[in-house]
Amino acid sequence: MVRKKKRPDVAIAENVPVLQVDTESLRGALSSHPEHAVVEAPAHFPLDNLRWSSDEGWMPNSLALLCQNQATKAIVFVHGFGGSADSTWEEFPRSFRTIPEAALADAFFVDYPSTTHTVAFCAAQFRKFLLDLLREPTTKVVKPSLPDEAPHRPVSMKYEKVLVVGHSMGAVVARRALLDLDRDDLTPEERNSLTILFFAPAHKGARNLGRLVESGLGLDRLPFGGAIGSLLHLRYRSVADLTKESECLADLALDSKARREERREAEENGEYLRAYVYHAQNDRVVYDDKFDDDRATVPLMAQNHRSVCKPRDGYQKPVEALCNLL
Amino acid sequence: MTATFTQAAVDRIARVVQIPSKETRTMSALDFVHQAMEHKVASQLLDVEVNSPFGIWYGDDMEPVLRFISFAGLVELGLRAGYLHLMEWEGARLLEQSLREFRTENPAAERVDLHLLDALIVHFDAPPSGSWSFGEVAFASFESYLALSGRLRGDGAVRSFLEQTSGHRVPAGDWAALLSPRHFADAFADGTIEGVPVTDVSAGYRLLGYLERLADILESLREHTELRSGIVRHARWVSRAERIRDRFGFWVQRMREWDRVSNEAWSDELWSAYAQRIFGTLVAEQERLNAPRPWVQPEHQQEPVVEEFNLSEDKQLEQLLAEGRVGAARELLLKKAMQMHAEMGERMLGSADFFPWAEDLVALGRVLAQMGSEDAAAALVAPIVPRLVTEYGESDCAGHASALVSSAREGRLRHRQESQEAPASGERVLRALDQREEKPHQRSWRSDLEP
Repeated sequence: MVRKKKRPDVAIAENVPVLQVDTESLRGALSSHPEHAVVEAPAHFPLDNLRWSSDEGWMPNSLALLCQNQATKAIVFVHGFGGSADSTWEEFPRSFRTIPEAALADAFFVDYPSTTHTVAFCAAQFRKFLLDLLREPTTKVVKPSLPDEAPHRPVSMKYEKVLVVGHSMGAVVARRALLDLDRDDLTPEERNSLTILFFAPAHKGARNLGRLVESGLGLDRLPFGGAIGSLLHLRYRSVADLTKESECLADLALDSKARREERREAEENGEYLRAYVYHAQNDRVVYDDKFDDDRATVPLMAQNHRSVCKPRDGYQKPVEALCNLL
Repeated sequence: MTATFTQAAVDRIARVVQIPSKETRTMSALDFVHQAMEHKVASQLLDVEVNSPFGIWYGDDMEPVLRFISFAGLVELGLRAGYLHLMEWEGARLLEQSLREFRTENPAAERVDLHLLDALIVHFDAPPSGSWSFGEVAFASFESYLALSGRLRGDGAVRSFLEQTSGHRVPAGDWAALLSPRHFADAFADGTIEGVPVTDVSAGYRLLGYLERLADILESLREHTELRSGIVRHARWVSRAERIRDRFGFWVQRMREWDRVSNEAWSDELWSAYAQRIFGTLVAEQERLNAPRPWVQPEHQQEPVVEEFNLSEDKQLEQLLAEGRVGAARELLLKKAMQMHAEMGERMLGSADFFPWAEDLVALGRVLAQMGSEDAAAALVAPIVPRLVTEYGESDCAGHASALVSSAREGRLRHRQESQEAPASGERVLRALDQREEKPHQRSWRSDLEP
C-alpha cells in the first residue's frame, strides 16, 4: 500500500512572523516537563489501525500494535458480545510495551460486528483472518498495517507462535474458527504454533441472556439494565447462539472432542485445542463449567464478567496469563 | 528508530483528526500540514467565530481550521507525554511555520482555546529533551487518549448525540424513548419507535463508555498535571460536561419512574457516585482552567430541563398514575409513608390521635399494595396491627391492616413475579381507585379507599 504522494510545494519562510503569544507564562507552565537522559525507542510502533487486505469492511475499527523489528509471535485479541478492540482490551497495549516477553510479538485487536451477525458468520470471517495470519502474515496483514517508514519484513516470514485470546463470545468465535480451520488441513507446524487463552468464555452458554446483553452493551451503567437487556436480547442474532442449549455450542463441543480424538488416534499434537481458561468470581453472565478437555479453570477473585480481562493497577492477572504463554 | 516512531506517531495523530471516510484516504501528517497551509485554514477562524454566536461546537470539527487546531493540540500532548520527539519529524519546520502564521493571522481569538497551540510554538523555541518512557503512565495514557479520540471521531452517532446536548432543553426524542423499558429497548435497537424517530439511546451508552475511559485516563494522570490539563483542554467534545451530566440525570430520573420490571436496585446514590466518577474530575478541571466553553447558551435563552410539577401531593399522585408513571407514584407514596412511619413511636404512645393516623397509614399501605408493593405495605402496617385488632377490632381499618399482612405472608408478590405477571399498571391502580371514589375532584390517596 502506498500512501505517499507528490506534495504541493510550500516554501518554508526564512523569517517567521513574530508571535503574539505570552511565551513567558507558557514557559513557566511547561517548566516541569520531565527530562530524561537516555533515549530508548519503544519496541513497538504506535497503536494504530489494523489494515487486513481481505477486510472488505468487516472489521474497520481493528487495531494493531506492531513490532519495530521482526516479530516472531502474534497475539490476536477477540472481544465478546458488544465489545470492541479498544474498550475490551483497553489496558493491554500499555502492558504490552512493558513486558519483555512481548518485545518480539505483534498484537492484533480484532473488532468485528458481534451484535449483528451470528457466531458462525463471525467465526467464518475470523477463520479467514487467522489463515492469512498463519500463511501470509507479511503481505496480507502486517505490511498494510505498518508505517511506510518501517523496516522491511520478509514476505516469507511466519510466526513461530500465534496466541488467540478471547473474551466471552469471542472465545466461541475463536474456537469455532480454529476448528473450521483445522478441518481444512492445517499443517502440523501451524497447529503447533497455535495456543488459545480465554477469559470468561461463553462456550458453555450464557446463564442469562438479558445479563449477557446488559454486560456487553454496558446497560448496567444506568437503571434497569437487566430488564432492558432482557427486552433486547431477541434483537441480536448472535445471542441465540450463546444459550446453553444452542446448536452452535453443542456442535462446538462435539467438533472439539472429535478433532481432539482424531489427533490422538493419529498420534499428533492436540494441545492447541485445549484452552487456558480464566473465570471471574462474580460472573453472572456465563456458565463456568469445563469445556471438553480444556485445562483446569483458573479462578479470578473479585472480578466480574466484564472486568476479568482488563488489567489495571492492582490486577495484572490477564497480563500474567499472557506472559506465561509467550 | 526513534525517528521512525515519531514519524509514525505524528501520522497517527493526523489520521485521528481527519474524519474517516470510505471515499477519501486519510492524509499523512506532512500532507495534512501542507494542505492546511495551502488552503490558508488560519484565515478561516474568524469566519467560524462570527458564525457561532454561542461559541464553537467542536464535536464534529467539520471545519478544517478546527481540525488543524486539534492536530496541533495532540502533537503538543504527545510532547508532554514523551510520546514523540518533534524535531525528528521531517515536517517539524513546516508545522512551526504554519503555527506561527496561524497565530499572526489570529492574534486575538476569543472563543477558541489556543493554549495548546501556543504551547507547541513555545516548544519549537525550546524543544524539550525528553525521551521515551513508554512504561510510564504519561506515555500509556496519551496513547489511550489518542485511541479514544480516534474512536470518537469514527462514531457519528455519538457525535450527533453530543451535538443534541446543546442547552438545558432535553431533546424531544429522549422523552419518547423514556416512556417505558419497552420503548427504550426499541429506541436502543432501532433509533425509532414503530417508525417514529427518537433518540438513538445506544449512542448515549457508548458515550458513557467513552466518558469512563476519559475519566480513567485523567485519574491515572494525577501526578502529571500538565498532561492532564492539556487533555481536558483538548477533549472539546466534552466541553459541555454539565449539560451531558444533566441529560443523563434526566434519563435516570425518568427510568426510576418506570413501573417495576425487575428486582434491580438503583438508588440516587448510585447515580450520584457514577456521575461523580465520570464527570467529577473533568468538570473540576474545566472550571479550574476556565477555558472558552463552546455552545453554552446565555441564561435567559435557556429552557428548563424538566417541566416541574407545581401540584399538590394528591394531584401529583393522580397525574403520575394517569401517565402510567407507576414507579414515580410509588416513590411518592413511599416517601409519604416513611414520614408517617417516623411518627409511629409518638402515635403509639398516644390515644386520641392513634386511630385517625392508623387509618391514614393503612389506607396508604393499601394503595401501595395495589401498585405491587405488598411487602412494603405490610412492613408499614405490621407494627400497628396488634393494637388495631385489640382496640378497634371491629373496624374496617383493622380488617384491612390484617389483610395486608396476611397477603404479604402468603407471598402473593413473589408468586406473581414467579408467574411473570406484571405488577399493577397505573391504569389498573387508577381504575381500582375510581371504583371507590364518587367525587374525583376531592380524591386523595386516603379518600380513594374509603368506602
